[in-house]
Amino acid sequence: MSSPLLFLDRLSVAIRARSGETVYPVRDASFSLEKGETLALVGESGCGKSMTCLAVSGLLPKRGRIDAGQAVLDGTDLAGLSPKAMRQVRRRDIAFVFQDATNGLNPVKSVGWQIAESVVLRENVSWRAARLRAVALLERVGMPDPSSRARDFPHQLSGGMNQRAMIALAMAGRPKLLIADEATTALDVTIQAQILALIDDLRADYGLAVIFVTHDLSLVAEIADTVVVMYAGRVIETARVADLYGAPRHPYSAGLLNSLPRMDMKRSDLQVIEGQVPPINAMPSGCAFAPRCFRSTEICRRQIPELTSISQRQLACHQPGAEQAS
Amino acid sequence: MSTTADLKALSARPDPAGETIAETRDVSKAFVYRKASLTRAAEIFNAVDKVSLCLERSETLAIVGESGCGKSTFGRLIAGLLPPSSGEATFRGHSYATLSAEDWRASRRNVQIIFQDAAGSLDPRLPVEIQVREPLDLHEIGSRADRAARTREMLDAVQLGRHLWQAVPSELSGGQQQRVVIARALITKPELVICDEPVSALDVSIQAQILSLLADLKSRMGLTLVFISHDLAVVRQIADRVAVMYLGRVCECGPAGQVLSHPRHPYTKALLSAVPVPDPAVKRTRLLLAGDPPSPHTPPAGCRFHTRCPVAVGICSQHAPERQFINGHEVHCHFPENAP
Repeated sequence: MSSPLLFLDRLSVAIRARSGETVYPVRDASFSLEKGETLALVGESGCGKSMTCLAVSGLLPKRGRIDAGQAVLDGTDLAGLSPKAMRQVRRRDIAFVFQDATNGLNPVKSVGWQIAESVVLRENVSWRAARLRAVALLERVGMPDPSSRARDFPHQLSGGMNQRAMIALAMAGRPKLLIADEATTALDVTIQAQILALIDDLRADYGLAVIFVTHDLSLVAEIADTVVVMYAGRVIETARVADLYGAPRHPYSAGLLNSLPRMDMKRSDLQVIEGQVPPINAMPSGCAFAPRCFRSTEICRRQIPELTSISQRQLACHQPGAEQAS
Repeated sequence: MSTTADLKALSARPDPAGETIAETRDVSKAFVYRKASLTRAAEIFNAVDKVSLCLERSETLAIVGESGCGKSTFGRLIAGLLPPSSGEATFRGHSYATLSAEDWRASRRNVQIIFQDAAGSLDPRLPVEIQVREPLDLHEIGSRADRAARTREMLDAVQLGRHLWQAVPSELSGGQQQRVVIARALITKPELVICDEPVSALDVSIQAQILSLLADLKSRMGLTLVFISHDLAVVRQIADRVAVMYLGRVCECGPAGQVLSHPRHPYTKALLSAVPVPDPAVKRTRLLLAGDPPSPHTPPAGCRFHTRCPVAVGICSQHAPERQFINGHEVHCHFPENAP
């Protein structure tokens, strides 16, 4: 097997808080991603999923830094790169699509201009040629009437169209890795379905690797190959999507799936994970999920479980659930 | 009420024995989106256009639809918070429009609203216990000691830890803030509660906590809920009846099981097919709708859905479909799914 396109090895992110203390929004995160694969990074707010992606793309806030570990993209360790070299990597290999497309775009330039600009920055072409490329890209992402829409400003377009423009912008550099951070969360379901179909289509066409950051587990089941579940800054379970949904082994993954309202069945009572995520500056000494876990024992409260490989998946739990769904 | 008889004939009644608690009759709400100038009349549009719905006591009616379909405006109309431009909204047989200012104020005891943004609907500087007690103070219910006791009872009922009662909202998490908002809404023992996207901003595990809390309080207090949401999976968990709205009009309304499992309107079908199912084993053929919804400012003529509808023909762009009932299930479509 060739080496994966991206792998993270015990990546930790540190942020110096205003109060002077250092907090760790991501600790020892490890996972890998192949070319053409879609990986979903799931978890609740504040679990570190977005921070992980920002670290990979070198976009951490000023007070943040990669504290330990590696993030290797195509043989290059991104953690060791200078900001300038990182910028080159972003220009060439990594594209980011954010949740809020309307604010992510420049409000005083037309979308066509913005896409053309990113073409000019990456390739040695004339503005005229770049403009044509921009229209072609807009057409590729399914923008209706691309040549006139290219002259429109973001406020003239709907949320779905802005998200398409954002994806066109991301694709302008022919990236290897596309990071979609809650890219469809702000959209209506019918538009969300369109955007998901588009991303999947681009992945198949260009052999893109896609990291899909989301809190929506229903969506993950439809688009991802691999799922990485994060809780309180740590990866707690990584598995193929069918394995995870068939038999989640970490009690938190199981709890999340059970608390999910479903369209295809009415649950008499949603199962509830009691309590809430511990605050980032007051993590318990053992497993961060232990205070909410119905299976927790003495060792869970004392020792942090390591992420270990068990039959096709990675799991960080002292008391994992059964391998097969009962 | 003299018109009760024809009302009964007009409105979809899931349970003939049930008592109607609130109702709208051809209610519309127009907003101005461009003011009049010297040379131009004001341009207005109907955010809600001739919607007639009827609410039975103790049921949960969910209003679903995409952004801009008028579901929140409808929620405000049925709560009496917005005066309708035409038609009327009634609560317990009285039109809000005919109430005196005093009576309208008194009606607030019985009709309460829970919004999506809990932090925004709380006073950032007031301890939550005082905020929860405030409706009792305003409506002058009970003695001072009674109010305090009822506040404690309510805070216990929403399972907010006692150590948080003196906290200000910024010290609480999103889920805890929503519990406070629910406690404040329910403390006057209202009959009708409008929940406008109450769990949309919450994480899935917290969302499940709040949903089961709402369901529990509803059955204990005999509440009637209007549950406004864009999330059909959430609606499935909580609703007895579902009304689907598109660009200010109702497309389909009926018992939740029927609407969500056997939709009859093509828009409902497309909406349901767009909802992801959390099971990788389920591979479905998706019914992808083309394009964006038209702007509510300039809705298409005829059936409002015809521009995106997969089964639209000539008549759909000319005439708005009449309401029809199929097995007690209201559909507004020229070509509804007729299969049982």
